[in-house]
Amino acid sequence: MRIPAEHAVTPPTLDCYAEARDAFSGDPASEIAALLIDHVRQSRQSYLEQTHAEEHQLRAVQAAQVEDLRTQADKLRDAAMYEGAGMMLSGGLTIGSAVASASVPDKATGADWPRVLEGSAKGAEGGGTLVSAHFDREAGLAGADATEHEHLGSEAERRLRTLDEALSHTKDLQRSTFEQLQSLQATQAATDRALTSWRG
Amino acid sequence: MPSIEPARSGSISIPQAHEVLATETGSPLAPPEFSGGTPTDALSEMLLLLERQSQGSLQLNLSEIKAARERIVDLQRQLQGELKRALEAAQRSQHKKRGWFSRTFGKVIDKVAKLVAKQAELTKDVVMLQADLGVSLVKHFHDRDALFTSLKHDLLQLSESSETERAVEGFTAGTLKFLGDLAAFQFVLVAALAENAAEGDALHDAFREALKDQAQKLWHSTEANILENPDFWTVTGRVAEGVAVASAIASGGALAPLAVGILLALEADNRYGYLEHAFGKEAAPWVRIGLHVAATACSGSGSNEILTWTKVALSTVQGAGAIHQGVKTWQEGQRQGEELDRRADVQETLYQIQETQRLIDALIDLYEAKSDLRTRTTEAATQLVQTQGQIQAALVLQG
Repeated sequence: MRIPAEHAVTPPTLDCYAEARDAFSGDPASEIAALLIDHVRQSRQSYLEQTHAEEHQLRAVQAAQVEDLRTQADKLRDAAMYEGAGMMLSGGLTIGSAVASASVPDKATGADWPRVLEGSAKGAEGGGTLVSAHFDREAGLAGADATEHEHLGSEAERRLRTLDEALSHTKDLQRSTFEQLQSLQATQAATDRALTSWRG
Repeated sequence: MPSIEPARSGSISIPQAHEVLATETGSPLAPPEFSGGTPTDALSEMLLLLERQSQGSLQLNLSEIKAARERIVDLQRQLQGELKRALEAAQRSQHKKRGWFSRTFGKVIDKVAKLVAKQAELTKDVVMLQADLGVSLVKHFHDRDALFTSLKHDLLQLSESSETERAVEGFTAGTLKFLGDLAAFQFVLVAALAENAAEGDALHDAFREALKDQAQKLWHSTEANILENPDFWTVTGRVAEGVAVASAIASGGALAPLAVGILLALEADNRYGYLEHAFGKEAAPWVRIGLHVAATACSGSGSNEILTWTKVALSTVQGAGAIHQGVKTWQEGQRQGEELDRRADVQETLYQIQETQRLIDALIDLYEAKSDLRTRTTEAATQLVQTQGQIQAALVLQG
């Protein structure tokens, strides 16, 4: 603040007030505060965009996990269906074999039907188990995919939490910057009042 | 004492349509109403516009929060329904009716089954002890201590329950319970038929219900005591092997003694595991398969009618068991699939709830930020007006 050494009785001009105000309140402080607010705003925008991206990723992996679970359920049903069908066919052929062995042997063709049916029963059971194993494998793969997507979802959730914390810190910084700016404005207004009422 | 007379002002007139303005209890989140006169200067107009914008924005935010809350309530209701369905499914799979005979005489039958199993075990041990002692003598002939330990072990085995004893016990208990339930069903059936014959009409409703109930219980008894009783199938398998040996002997063919020898060799390997010592761990399974094939090839078909019919009966029972097992496997697969589908539904609903909760959190944050901004704007405007007023006052004083 510049105070003339030999001031006149008349009040100073308005330019003098403006110069004194700029020198006292400190423009660099206001500029730093403004820069800080700009930085906070940009950081906040960046974190918000990252949060949106993470939320999108989280939704995608969660949907994929649910879809994998449904696929696993379908494959489990298929596996049990083929295995069960094989066993039922095997049981039917075993009973057929028992009935054939009780009946009169077919001497015209010489075919040993009980043995043929017994073998077919084993074959049916084996075939059912084979197809069932294929679907079991696919169900297992779907289960593994579901687990992988669950882990990816957990990772996305962790990143979201980190971004939330960063956003919270940004908010704190923004609040303290505004408070600082407010305090600067109050100082500036007080200086203005003092200068206005000063008669030299 | 002065008395207060009621004012008699004629008929009290009540307006036909009057409005009662109740004081509304505002939500803590609701923004305060802005009311003011018509602004005259540019600064007041700008402040009024800012205030109106803030109010509109906050109200929009509140309505969004409300909509999200309603969505969460819907999702929670949906989740509750899904969990209820899962619980019902779990309870349904556990509910099975036991037969009257099994329920009433179950404990007695278990005691009888234990006695039968102990008897079978004793009979088997008496036969097998001699073989075990012979094997111990051959193996540890030159080592007296080892021979003594081995003999002691063989004798101690007499008092221990073996797998055979447990299998025979399960088989006997299951079979007896099933036969008892079958007899109870037959009794109800005969009574229903007699009632029908006496009345000359359709089956009486009560008997029809009782018959239906008994049939259901009989089926559950069949499942529990026969079809899903592993001991029953263990013993049946053993009996089938015995019948195969007997059939081979009864066939009278030249290869019959060879078939019997191979089957006995396999049984001995089952007990002492000598094939692994003789052929090594890797080759032993293949040797066993070869011996099984050879035994089957040598046994041929039995000519004895009783044995043939026994084999037919055993094969029929085993076939029925396989069919039942197949149906059960199918049903179990369906159940597992449905359970997994329900889990996926619950998971999906939980994810939707989490997502909506995140949305609500974000909206509340936004609301707070807007409220802060509004407060700051109002404070700044107040200070601005005050400063303006003070400066004007100072200038007037100076002028």
